[in-house]
Amino acid sequence: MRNVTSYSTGALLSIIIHVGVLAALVINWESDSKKVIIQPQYIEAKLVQLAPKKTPVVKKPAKPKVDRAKKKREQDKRRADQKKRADKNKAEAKRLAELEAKLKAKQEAKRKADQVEAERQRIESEFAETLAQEQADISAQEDQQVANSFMQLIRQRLSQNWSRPPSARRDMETMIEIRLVPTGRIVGVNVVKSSGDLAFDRSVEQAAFKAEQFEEIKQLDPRLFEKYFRVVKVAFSPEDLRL
Amino acid sequence: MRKLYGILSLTFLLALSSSSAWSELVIRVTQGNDKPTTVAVSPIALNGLRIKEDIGAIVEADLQRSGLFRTTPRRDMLAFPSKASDVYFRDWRMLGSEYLVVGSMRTIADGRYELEFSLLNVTAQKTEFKHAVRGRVNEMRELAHLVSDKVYQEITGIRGAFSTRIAYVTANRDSGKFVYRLNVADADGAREKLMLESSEPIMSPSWAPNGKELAYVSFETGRPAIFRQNLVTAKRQQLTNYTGLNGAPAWSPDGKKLALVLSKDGNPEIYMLELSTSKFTRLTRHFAIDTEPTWMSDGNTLLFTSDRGGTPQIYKLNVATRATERLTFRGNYNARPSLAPDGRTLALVHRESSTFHIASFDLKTGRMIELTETRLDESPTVAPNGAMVMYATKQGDRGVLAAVSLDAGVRYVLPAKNGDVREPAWSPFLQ
Amino acid sequence: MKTSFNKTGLATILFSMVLVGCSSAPVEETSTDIEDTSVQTGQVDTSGIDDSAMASSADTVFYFDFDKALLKPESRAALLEHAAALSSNPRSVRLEGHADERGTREYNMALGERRANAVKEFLVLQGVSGGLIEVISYGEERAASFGSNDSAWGLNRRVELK
Repeated sequence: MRNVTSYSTGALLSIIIHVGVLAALVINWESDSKKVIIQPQYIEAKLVQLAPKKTPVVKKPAKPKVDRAKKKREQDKRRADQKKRADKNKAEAKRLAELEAKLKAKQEAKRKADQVEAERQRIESEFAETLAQEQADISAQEDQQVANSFMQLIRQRLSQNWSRPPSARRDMETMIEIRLVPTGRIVGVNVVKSSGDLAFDRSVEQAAFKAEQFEEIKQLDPRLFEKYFRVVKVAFSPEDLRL
Repeated sequence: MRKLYGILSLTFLLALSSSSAWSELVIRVTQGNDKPTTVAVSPIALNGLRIKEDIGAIVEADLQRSGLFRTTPRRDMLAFPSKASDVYFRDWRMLGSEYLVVGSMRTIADGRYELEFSLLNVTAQKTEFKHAVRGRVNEMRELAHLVSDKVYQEITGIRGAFSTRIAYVTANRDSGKFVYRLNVADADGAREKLMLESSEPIMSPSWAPNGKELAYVSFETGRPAIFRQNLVTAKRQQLTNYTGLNGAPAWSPDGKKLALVLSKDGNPEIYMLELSTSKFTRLTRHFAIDTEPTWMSDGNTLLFTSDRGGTPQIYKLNVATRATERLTFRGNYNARPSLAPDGRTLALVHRESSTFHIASFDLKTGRMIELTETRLDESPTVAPNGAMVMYATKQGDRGVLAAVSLDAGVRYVLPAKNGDVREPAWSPFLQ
Repeated sequence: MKTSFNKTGLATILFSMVLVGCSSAPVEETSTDIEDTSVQTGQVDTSGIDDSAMASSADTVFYFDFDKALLKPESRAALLEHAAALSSNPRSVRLEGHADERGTREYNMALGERRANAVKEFLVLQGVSGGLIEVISYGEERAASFGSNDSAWGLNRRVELK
């Protein structure tokens, strides 16, 4: 039975801590959120002709008598220069603009050309892909044809070695898996689907064991061997029986 | 984009089809080359024991006679192993042996002999089984037949019938006088035992289901009469004494009744005799010939021969209701039905043109297959394992016994005896 | 009792009824066997016949066609003589029926009996007392001639009067 005092002390402490944490969180959060919004003072500026202040005027040197014509000439010159400059700028701008346009056009053309090129390449690669697939199919067919001729061989040899028991009937079927090595030797035989008649199954296994080795498999391309002949499935169904 | 999708899906389909064809490549073997299985029987090691019989030779003969096996000649064997651990499969493989039987004999505590034997599969290089059988010194032939039974069953899946017996009748003519004998022998013809000798004909031996008795027809009283005889005690009992025909006895499956033929009421009819009460019950009522009854395993159905349809054909009779039904329609002569243990195949005498053959008849499908090519075949009797049908035929002028398998694949002629042999009856499996 | 009332059965019954008045119920002959028409008459070489008991010198062996139990005309002629002899001097007679080796044994027993019965019926019709006549069949068990040919078979298809 715990000491009630210590229990209450612990509880109080826990509460204080919790409140403290909570407060810290809250206060901080509050102070963070309190932004000082600076209101920009909108100043409306107006050109005001100020009375000339009685400011200590910087004694200007006595103005020489201004040659108005000269001034005008100078003004005109200035204006002309300005105009020239402006024109120059304009021309420059124009030239730049023209250049830019040219560049853009070039880029556009390039982009279009690239696009066409890309399209062409895509079509070309698609074609190449289809061609490759067709060739793969043809070679797969060729593979299959080669495989078929070896399958025939295996079938004949197994058939020659298959002696059926008296209980064998036409409607029976046993499927076995034969495992071969590249020399054509049978290294494993097992029944994957039984006929329901043990003597019949056994006769099938015996046929495989008797065949022992298919020498011709040595002639096979290793790729084809792996593809078709590492494991061979054979179904035995005695259609030649009378009963 | 559509175009791309189209091409992609096509490619995918092509890939799929070619790979699935590959994974489903299964070679189909639909024909075989049925040859007898070659078995080598290594002589049984006797370890100094003196035994009259050559057990290995008996096993070889049994297996050969079944037609399903060929045996490796002893003289070709390089060694005579007596246990699996002594066997070099290579050697036997070179001899062409697919299987090898090895064994050894020793005496055991009660004075009997124990034969321990193993069957090895040379082709697959493994031991199929190891087994032991025991018997007294005068039971060596029985032990040998048990070895044959076990080997036969292991390889064919069918129970061996080498430990069964046959009953048969021989007729010898000595200086114009006939001597008829009823004999019982082992299925291989050995140990022939005389059960009855008579100057009058003996016919139709029939085995009791317990293998301990025979019923048969004997003319010793001047007329045909049916007798039963115990094979161990040789004790006999006359069961019928009617005028006219007394013939074709057939034991019921429970061994309590005999179906038989009597013509005391005017023409040959089928009767049932209750052995414990000696009560006769008439089962057929027809003016035609009704004969050669045989029981079906339900104990309530008889198959018999009748010419009520004009020519001899096979009929079925329900014992309880007396209803009859014709079963054979092919050929102008079908008689002497003998049922195989499968309950659906019938061996019978069949004639289509002018020659009498043994045929097998499928009760379910009505299919009739001629099994023999010999001309004057009769008295078919089916082995209790259904593998063979033994029958009587002629070789030249002599009557001999022959056997053929129910699918007609195997046949052999039994060793000839003096005079004519006829009327074989194959025993049931014996205890 | 289940009766398959078909035409064949009916025809057989009617036909048989008609022929019952004649000698015997015929067995339909459907084989293509070459029949032995050169009927051999006379003696059987196996069993010895007690000549002194015979009151007639007529043939005592009567032959039949394959699978048939019909009396031949020559048999009838001989049997008429026997019937006369037996009527005047009654004695017990044994008729032994036989068949040739073809076909099954028990069926041949029935065939042999049918033939012997055919002879008995004829004699009875001629006035011989049925009680004097014993019929026994040996089927194919007591061949008179050995050999698997038509002439041997012909000699075996017989009834012997003893």
